[in-house]
Amino acid sequence: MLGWNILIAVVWMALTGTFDVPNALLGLGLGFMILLFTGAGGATKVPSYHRRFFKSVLLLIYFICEVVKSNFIVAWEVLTPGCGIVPGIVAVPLDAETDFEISLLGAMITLTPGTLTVDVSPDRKYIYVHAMYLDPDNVAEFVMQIKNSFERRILEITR
Amino acid sequence: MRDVLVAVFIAFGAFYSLVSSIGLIRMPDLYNKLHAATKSSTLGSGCVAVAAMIFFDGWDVRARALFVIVFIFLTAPISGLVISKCGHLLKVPQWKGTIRDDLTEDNEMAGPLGKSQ
Repeated sequence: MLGWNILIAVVWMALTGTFDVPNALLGLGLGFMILLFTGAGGATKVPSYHRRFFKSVLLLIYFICEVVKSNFIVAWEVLTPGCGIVPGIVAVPLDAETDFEISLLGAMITLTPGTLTVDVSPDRKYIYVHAMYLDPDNVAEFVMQIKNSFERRILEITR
Repeated sequence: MRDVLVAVFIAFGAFYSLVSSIGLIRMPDLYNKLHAATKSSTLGSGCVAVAAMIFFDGWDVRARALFVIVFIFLTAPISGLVISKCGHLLKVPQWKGTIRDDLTEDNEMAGPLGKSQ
């Protein structure tokens, strides 16, 4: 699908005779719409190319919001006097299996509020997350939060 | 309008780089220092790259700035992971307020050598 999309963009650029970035983006956008409306080249496969594209864009927006939020939290903790952190390392069971899914999840955990990936267990069943604000009575909720926010979204795209 | 945007992004970038440096000194132990080092410096340098994308006109500069952002977001978590993993293997002391450590427990359960070695 991606190949068809790029091919349409190249044909578009050759027909219009301009090989620059805005025209390439326009060609890619046109190809995207054409494939959406004609259903050519396996667009009807589930999960479809377009659905995965939109999910990826949503994940990217969500991720950027979380990064900005996490930086406000760190900045607040660093700049206000006193030490209000309750740190701890928690094992989070993994549903992600491939290298790509696990490394993407690990990177996103590191860049989002109050969490830092420390290690992945050798059997790939657990990912160890260092949390800055851990509620000792509600560790299960913390685990579910990580699984529901990022892991679910990543798996929706890769599977 | 463009100048204002550029100024805002550079100011944010400088602010978060500063926060990251102060955090490296102020946080109590290795892991908490890494929180400051990975998150804030990533957004700090990302903001400066976005400012460069807005300021310069050519698409070549924009493409390069975009890839700078992508590579910073790819490499910062990996270096954070490697440093924290090494710190844990070398048993760098944790802050006294740390309330839970599943990784040490799991390694001890796997025997004296641990699973990770």
